[in-house]
Amino acid sequence: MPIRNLNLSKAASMFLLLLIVIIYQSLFSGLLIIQKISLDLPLLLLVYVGLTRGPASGAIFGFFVGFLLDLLNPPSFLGLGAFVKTCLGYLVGSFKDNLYLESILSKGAVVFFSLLLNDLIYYVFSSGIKNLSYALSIFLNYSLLSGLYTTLVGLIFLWFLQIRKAKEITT
Amino acid sequence: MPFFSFNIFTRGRGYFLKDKSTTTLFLFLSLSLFLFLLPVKVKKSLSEVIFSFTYAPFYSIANRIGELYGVHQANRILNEKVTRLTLENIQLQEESKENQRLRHMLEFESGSTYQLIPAEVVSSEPGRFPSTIWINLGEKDGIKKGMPVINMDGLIGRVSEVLMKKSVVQLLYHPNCRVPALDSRSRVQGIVRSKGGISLNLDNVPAEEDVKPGDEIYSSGSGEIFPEGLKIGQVNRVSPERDSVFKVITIKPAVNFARLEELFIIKTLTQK
Repeated sequence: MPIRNLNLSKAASMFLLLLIVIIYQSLFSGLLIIQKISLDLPLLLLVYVGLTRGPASGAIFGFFVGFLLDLLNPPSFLGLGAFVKTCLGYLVGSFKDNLYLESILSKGAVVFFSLLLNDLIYYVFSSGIKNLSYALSIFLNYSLLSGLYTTLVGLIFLWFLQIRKAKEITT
Repeated sequence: MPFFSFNIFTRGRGYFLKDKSTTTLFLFLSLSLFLFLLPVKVKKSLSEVIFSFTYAPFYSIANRIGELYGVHQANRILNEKVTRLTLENIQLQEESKENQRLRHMLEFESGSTYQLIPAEVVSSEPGRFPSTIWINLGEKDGIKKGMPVINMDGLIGRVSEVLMKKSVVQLLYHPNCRVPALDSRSRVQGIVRSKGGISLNLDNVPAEEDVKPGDEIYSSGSGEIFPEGLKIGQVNRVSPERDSVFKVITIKPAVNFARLEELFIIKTLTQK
């Protein structure tokens, strides 16, 4: 089984990241909203897991993150977020060996387009074809800016990681 | 090197099924679909159960923090209020001292305080409008004829007869009870007395003086018996001049004379 291939430390770190998602959503998500534009930390973590660990881990992490976020939405949509994020985790994980990873900008682009794709699929599915205009208005008004905000935070995070890595190499 | 390429498209069909990551994808997609297709009732209960041990503990922490923040904010506001009131109080105390100093300089007597003796009504004069009552204090308690009697609401009357252990109090309704009084708003002076019935009159107020319904009437202290500042009542009606010389002013008493139980005798006026 593929899950068996995940070693214990990987599972533990994934669990830790899921815990971060829960804590962020419970305690801090409201604090980081700027002009109704929210920071999508779960998606950022999903992209991070996908890019660093590959499609299998991305899909698994995407499922659990999506499921956790589904718990905060109306129960009728339970499973939809999990479905979307599983696909997204896998898709992002597929870039692991193919993307020019040293480029921060390419990573930023992955974050930005992942968020857009996630929102587009989720809102279209959750609002239905009848309310497509509503889904599109949310997408245009909030998703684009939220994507930029999340990408910016993600890039800052990556930049810090790179500096840290560079210091480790020199020492 | 291409910007990106998908493994599942570039590799063969056999690899597609053998690929662990693809199997994982389909496994979790199936699980997601299974969740999505569950009946809403089941979804609700499932959400509730999982929410209770994932988010609920952290939300309760968030609520606690919110409450603490709220208390902190309220505390800050109250502290500001206390500080402001303390400053106001200090200012008022200063003004009070200044007032005393100025009064002293102008050789005015400072405000008097009353020595109050608590008493109880023993009985009242039988009849529809009792104008006298008996109280449980007499000569042995230091009660003397003419002492004013009050309660929490205002002036009741004066002691008219003193026995050893009991005394008679003449109420404001008594025809012989007259109280020098003034209008607290316009400072117009007059004499309060009863002309029978449950209301009192403010007499001797010239027709041109300014007295309006709703004005508060207090004892003026100009007689020897009643000290200044005892509330008598409120102007109920100001009738047109009956004779162009005096107003006819009716006062609603501040005290409810039908329910007199505990009252106070003003024994002496002590000066500050």
